[in-house]
Amino acid sequence: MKKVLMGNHAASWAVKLADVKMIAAYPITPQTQIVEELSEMCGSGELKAKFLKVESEHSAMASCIAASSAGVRAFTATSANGLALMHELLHWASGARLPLVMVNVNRAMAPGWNIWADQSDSLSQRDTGWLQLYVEDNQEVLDTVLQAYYIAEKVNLPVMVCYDAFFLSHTYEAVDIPEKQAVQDWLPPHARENILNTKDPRAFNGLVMPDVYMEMRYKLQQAHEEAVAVVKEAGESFAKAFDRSYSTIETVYCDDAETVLVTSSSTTSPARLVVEALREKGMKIGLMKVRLFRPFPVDDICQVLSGKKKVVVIDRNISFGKGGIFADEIRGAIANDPQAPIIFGYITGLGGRDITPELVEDIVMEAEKNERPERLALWKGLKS
Amino acid sequence: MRMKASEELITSGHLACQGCGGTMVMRHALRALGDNTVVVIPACCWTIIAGQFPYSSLRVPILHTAFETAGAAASGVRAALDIQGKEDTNVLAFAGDGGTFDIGLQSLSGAAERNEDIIYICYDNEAYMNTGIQRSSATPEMAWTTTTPSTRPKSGPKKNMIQILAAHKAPYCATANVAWPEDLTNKVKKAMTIRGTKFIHVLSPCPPGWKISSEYSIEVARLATHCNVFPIYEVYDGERYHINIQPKNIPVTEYLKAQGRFRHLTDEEIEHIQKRVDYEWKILLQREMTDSYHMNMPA
Amino acid sequence: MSDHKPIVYKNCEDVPAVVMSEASMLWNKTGAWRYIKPKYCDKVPPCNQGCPAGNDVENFVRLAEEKKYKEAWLSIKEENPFPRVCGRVCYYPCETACNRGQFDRAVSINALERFIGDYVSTDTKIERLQNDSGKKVAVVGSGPAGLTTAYHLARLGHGVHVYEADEKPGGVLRYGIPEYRLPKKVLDEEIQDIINLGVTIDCNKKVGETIQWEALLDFDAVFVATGAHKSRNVGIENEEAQGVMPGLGFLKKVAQGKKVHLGPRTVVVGGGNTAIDAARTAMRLGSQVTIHYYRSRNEIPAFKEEVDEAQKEGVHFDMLSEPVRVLVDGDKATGIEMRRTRLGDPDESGRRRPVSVEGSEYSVDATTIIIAIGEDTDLEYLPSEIQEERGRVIVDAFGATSRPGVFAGGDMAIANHNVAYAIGSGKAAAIAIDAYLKGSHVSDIVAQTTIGEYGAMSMSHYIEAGRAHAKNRYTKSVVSYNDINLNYFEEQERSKQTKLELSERHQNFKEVHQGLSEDQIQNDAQRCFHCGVCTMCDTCYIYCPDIAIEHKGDAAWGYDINFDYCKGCGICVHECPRNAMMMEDE
Ligand SMILES: Cc1cc2nc3c(=O)[nH]c(=O)nc-3n(C[C@H](O)[C@H](O)[C@H](O)COP(=O)(O)OP(=O)(O)OC[C@H]3O[C@@H](n4cnc5c(N)ncnc54)[C@H](O)[C@@H]3O)c2cc1C
Ligand SMILES: Cc1ncc(C[n+]2csc(CCOP(=O)(O)OP(=O)(O)O)c2C)c(N)n1
Ligand code: SF4
Ligand code: SF4
Ligand code: SF4
Ligand SMILES: [Mg+2]
Repeated sequence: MKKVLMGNHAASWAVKLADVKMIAAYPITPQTQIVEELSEMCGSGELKAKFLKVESEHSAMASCIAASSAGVRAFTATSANGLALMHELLHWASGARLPLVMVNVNRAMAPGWNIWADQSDSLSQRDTGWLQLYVEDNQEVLDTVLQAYYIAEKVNLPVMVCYDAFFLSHTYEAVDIPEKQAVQDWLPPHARENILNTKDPRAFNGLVMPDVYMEMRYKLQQAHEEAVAVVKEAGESFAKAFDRSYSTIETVYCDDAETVLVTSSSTTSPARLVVEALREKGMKIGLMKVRLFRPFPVDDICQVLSGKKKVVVIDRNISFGKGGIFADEIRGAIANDPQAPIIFGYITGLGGRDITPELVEDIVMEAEKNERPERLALWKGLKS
Repeated sequence: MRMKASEELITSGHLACQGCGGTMVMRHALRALGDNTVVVIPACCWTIIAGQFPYSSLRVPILHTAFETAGAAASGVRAALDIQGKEDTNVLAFAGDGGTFDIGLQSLSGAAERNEDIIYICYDNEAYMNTGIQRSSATPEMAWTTTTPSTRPKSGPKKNMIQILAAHKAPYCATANVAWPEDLTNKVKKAMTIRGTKFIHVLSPCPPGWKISSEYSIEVARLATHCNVFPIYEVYDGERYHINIQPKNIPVTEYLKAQGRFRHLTDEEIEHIQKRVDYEWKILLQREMTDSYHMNMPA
Repeated sequence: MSDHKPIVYKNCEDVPAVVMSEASMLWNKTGAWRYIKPKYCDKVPPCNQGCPAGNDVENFVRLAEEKKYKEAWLSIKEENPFPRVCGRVCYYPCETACNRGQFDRAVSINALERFIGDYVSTDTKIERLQNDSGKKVAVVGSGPAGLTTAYHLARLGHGVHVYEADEKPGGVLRYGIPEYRLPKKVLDEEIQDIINLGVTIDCNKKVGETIQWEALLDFDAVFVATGAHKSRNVGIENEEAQGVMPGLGFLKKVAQGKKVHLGPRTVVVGGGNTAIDAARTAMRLGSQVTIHYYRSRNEIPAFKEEVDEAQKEGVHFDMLSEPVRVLVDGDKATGIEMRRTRLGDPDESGRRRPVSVEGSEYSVDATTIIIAIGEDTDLEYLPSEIQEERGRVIVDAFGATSRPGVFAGGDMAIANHNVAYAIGSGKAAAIAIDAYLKGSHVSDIVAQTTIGEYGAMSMSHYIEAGRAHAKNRYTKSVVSYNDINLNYFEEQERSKQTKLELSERHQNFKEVHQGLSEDQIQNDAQRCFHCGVCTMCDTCYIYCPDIAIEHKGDAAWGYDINFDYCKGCGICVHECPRNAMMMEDE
C-alpha cells in the first residue's frame, strides 16, 4: 500500500507494523508528529500498546528501559535537547543490553534555539553504545525502523534511527507501507530471556566490581562488531521480503572513481544529482552514503576508499576543536591503509542551512582543485 | 504474621551497615507484598545493600535504575506488565530521600500525576548516605552532614514530601517508621488494595549517618515520632488526613541529644526546632480535623 | 549454582554479557563483621527473687495468661505446697519487688496465685518426683514450715513422719489466722495434697512431752519447726486476772470452735498481726473493740491492709498509749489503766521509740483484755548441743543446725515471721536434707539453687526439672526496672479484688477477700512485663536487619541466631522489651 507520508508519520507507521507494546515519549519539534500519530493509533486501538505520556525525555527513556527490561518491545522518539537530556540513560540502555529502538530527528543544539537539521545532537551520543543509522528518505525511515527492531533484538543492543529535521520529518513523500502480515512473517516475535520475571527473580544492572566490568565492556564491543554483519543481513532479508535492499553503506560509481564524495542522511540526495552531473562531464567521481554510523562499518568503507585519490566528506555536524565527525571517523578508519586517500572534510549546512546541489558541487570542485586540504575542518557556505 | 527467616524475600549476607533502617523497611515491605513483586531501585544505599553482580539479596526481581528515575522506571515496568496481562504483579519503587526529594522528584511527580499503579516507598535516612552523608532536602534543619558542617549546619526545614504527593491527589500517601513494623506492613497491604500511585515515606535510621550506635537505631526512630518530629499518618486522595500513632509528645531535645549529628546544637537552636515541630504538629492536627468537612468530588 | 558459594569467572568467555544476578548473597558471611554478639539469656525477674517461698512467679503468671491454669498450679506446686494459702495470707513481697510497680502498679501476683489454686480442681494429684529412697525423716511441727519440708521430702522419695502437738495440723494457719482470712476448708485441702504423697501426720504428739527427743534419733534426719507460740506478758499488775487473755490463745480457742465470752467491750494491747486478727475476731463475736498501741499508726508492725480493714470494720485505734495496770473487781478484770506515750528517737529498728508521758494516765472500761504484744519460741525440748541465740535456733541458709542431721526452720529459726518465709525455709531444709541423705554437700549447689542474688531456694533448680524454655535461669542477674524497654508497655489498670460488704462482716467468719474473676486475672496477667524471660514476642526477630534470627521451629520454643550473618548491631538486645537477651564479647 502506497501512502504519501511525512517522514515522522513513516516512523509511526513502522512502529505500528512492528507491533510495539510500549511507547513513552515527550514532544519536541521536529519529532512531535511521531508522537501525535502514535497517540492516535493507540487511541483508536489499531495499535495495542501502552503509551506513557511522560514528563520528560529522561523519563521516556527510563520507562522504555524499564519496559524493555520487563520483556516488551518499546519505542521512543526525540530530538536534540531531548536526546541530550537522555544522555545518562542511553548508557543504561546499551549497558543493560536492551533492544530498544529510538528515532532521533536530527536538530541543532541550543543555544541559540534552532529547530532545524543538524546531526550534532545524535553524533554527540556516539559513545553511548547505541547503534546509529542515518537515513535519506521517508521510505528508508519506515524500512529502517523495522530493520532496527530486527537488528536490535538480534544483537541485544539499542538502535537509534536518525533523519534530518524538516527535510525528512516534515516533508511528504510517497511511501510503500508493507502489509502487516508480511512484517510479522519477516520480523521474529519479541521473545527474550533475561527479563524481569517473578517466577525466576533476578536483579538487573546492579553493582559490578572491577574484576568483571572490563569483560562486560569487551562483550559490548564484541556485540557492536558483530552488529555490522547483522545490519547487512537485515538489509538482505528485508530485500527478500519487501524488495528494497539496504546495507551499511551505499555506493554509486565508486568502482572506477578517483574521487569519492561521502555523505549521510538527506545530504545524499543533492549529492546524487551532483555526482550524476559530474560523471556526465567525465569526472571520475563516485558517491558513498554512510548509513550505519555505529558500529562504524570500517571494512566496508575501507574497501571502497582504499586506493582512491581523494575523499570528500560533507558533515552537517561538528565536533568542536576537531571538525566534521564523519570525516574524522573515516580518517581514523583508514589511517593504517597504505593506500589511504587524501581526505577533505567539509562542514556545512549547520542549523538547517540548505545544502544545495550548487553547494555540493562547489565543495567537490574546491577539493578537486587542491592537492591537499588546507586544514582539518574546511567550511563551506559561510557568509563571505 | 509469623514467617520463617528462610521464607523472607530478603536474604542474609546483604551489604548494609550494622543496624541499617533502610534494610528493615525493605524487609517489612516485602513481607506485605509477597513474591509477585518487581522492585525498582535507583542509586542509593540499596544499590549496595542488594549485593554486587552476580548476586542479589532479594528473592524478587530487581531493576536497578538511574538515580533520578525511580518513578519513570516503575511506570515502565508497570506498563510492560500490564500489557502482558500481569496486572496482579506489584511494582515497588524503592528509593532513598535523595532519589525522591531531590533528583528523582520530577520523575516521581510525573508518575504520581499520571497516577501510575505503583507503590513508591521512600526510605528516608535524611541525607545522601551512599555517597558519604551529604545533605539532601530531607535533611532536618540544623543537622550536621559532610556538606553542612556543624559550623554551618543545614538551614531551612525538611521538605514536606507528603504534602507534595498529596497535592498530586495521589490516592494514598502515608508516613511510617521502622520502629512500627506492623504499621508499615499494614500500610503496604492497604496500598496493594488501592489502584494508582501509593506513596509511603518511611523514616529509616542510619547509624553512621546519624552518628548513633547501631543498637539505638529503632529507639531513635521511635523517638522521632514520639517527639512529633516525624508524625505517622495517612492522607487519602490528597485530602483526608488520619494520624495513626499517638505521640507521647516528648520534648525534641530527647531525640536530638540521642544523635551525634545534632551534637552541636545550642539550647536556643533546640528551642527553635521545638517551635517548628510544635507548629507543624498543630497544622497536622488541623488537617486531620478538617476531615469532617471533606466532600467527595462530584463524579 | 549453590547459594552459599561465591561464583568465580575464570575466563573472559565465562563472564555474562548482562548484569543479571545468578545467586543470592548468602555466600557472604557477614558474621565476620561482628565484634560483639547477642545471646538469648533469661534472667531473674525481681518477683521471683522477691517471693520468699521461691515461687516461679513470672512462669505461673505467663501460664495463667495462656489460660493454662493447671500448668500454672503445677508450677507453683513445684516450689510451694500452699498456693491457696499463700494466695490469701501472704504479704506478697513479690508485688513490692514487681517492676511493674514502678510503671503503674504491680501485677496482682498474689490474687493470681489464689485464682490459680482455687481454679484447679482438688482431684489433680501431685506426683512424686523420685522413687522411694528408703530413708526416713522426722518433722516436728506441722506449721507451714514443717509441712513444706514434709511435702518436698516426700516428693523426693523419702519417708516422712510429722509429729504435731496439736490435734490438727497447720500450726498458725489453723489456730492463728482466722477463718475470715483463711477458710479451714482451703487449708485442709492443701494439707490433703501433702498427705496424699504418703506423709504421715501424727497429731497430739508433742515432742518433749508425749514423745521424747531421743525417739527422733531413729530417723535418718530431723527437721524441727515448732514456731513461736508462747505469748509474751506485758508484766503489769493484775495481768493474771480473769478476762485477760493472750492473743494467740484467744484465736486458737475461736478456731477450735470453743465458746469464748468477751462481754461488750474488748481492749486489745499490741500492734502486730495477732493483735489485729484478735481485734477483728472479737469484733465478729459482737464485742466493741479498741486497739491500744504504744507508737503511732506509722510504726504499727501489722500488715497495713489488715489494719485498714480492721478500722473499716469498726475497730477503734487508740495510738500512743501503753498499759499501766489491769483494773479489777475482785479477780475479774473491769478495765485497764493506760498512759500516753510520745515518740522519741529512733531505736535500732529505725522506728521511733515510745516514751512514757508521766501523769497522763487514764482508764478504759473493758470486759475482756487481750494481750497481743508478740510470741516467743519454746526451745526447751531441744538437746543442748543445738545452739540458740536470742530465742532462735542458729541455722545456715539451708536450715542446718549445729547438730549434723538436724535442721530447723520457720518462726523458731528465722527472723522473718511469716508464712512465705516459713515455706521457703522448709523447702531449703528439704533440699539440704535430701543432699545430706545422699551424702552430697549443699554448699556446692547454693549458687545454683538460690533465686537471683538473695532469693529463696528453688526446688526446680535443684532437681533441674525441665522448664524447657527457661533452662538457663541459673543466671544471677536480676532484671531491674531500668532494664525494661518501656516503649513496649502501656499503662493499664490493676485488677482489684472485691471484698465482702462491711455490713456482712458481723457475727460471722465469711471470707473477706473474694478473689479475682477470670477476666480480671487475664487483665493482670497481661500486665506482666515478664522481666528477663523470653515470651517469643518476636521483637528481636522482626527488627533484625540481617534476618539472622530464626524461629527454632513450629513446635519448639525460642530462636536461633545465625552467626554466619549476624553483624552484631545489637538492636535485638536493645529492643527486647524484657531484657531476655544480652550482648557478649566475641
Ligand atoms: C495470729 C497470726 C496471724 C498471722 N498472719 C499471718 C499472715 O496473714 N501472713 C503471714 O505470712 N504470716 C502470718 N503470721 C505469721 C505466720 O503464721 C508464721 O510465721 C508461720 O505460721 C510460721 O510457721 P511455722 O511452721 O514456723 O510455725 P507454726 O505455724 O507456728 O507451726 C508450728 C507447729 O508446731 C507445733 N508444735 C509446737 N511445739 C511442738 C512440739 N514440741 N512438738 C510437736 N509439735 C509442736 C505447733 O502446734 C504448730 O502446729 C501470723 C502469725 C500469727 C500468730
Ligand atoms: C545522576 C547521579 N548523580 C549522582 C549520583 C551519585 N549518588 C549515588 S547514590 C547518591 C545519594 C543517594 O542518596 P539517597 O537517595 O538519600 O539514598 P541513600 O544513599 O541515602 O540511601 C548519590 C548522590 C548518581 N548515582 N547519579
Ligand atoms: S549508610 Fe546508612 S542507610 Fe546506608 S547501608 Fe549504611 S546504615 Fe543503611
Ligand atoms: S512484671 Fe511480671 S515478671 Fe516483672 S516483676 Fe512483676 S510479676 Fe514479675
Ligand atoms: S525480644 Fe521478645 S522474643 Fe526476643 S528475646 Fe526478648 S522476649 Fe524473647
Ligand atoms: Mg538518603
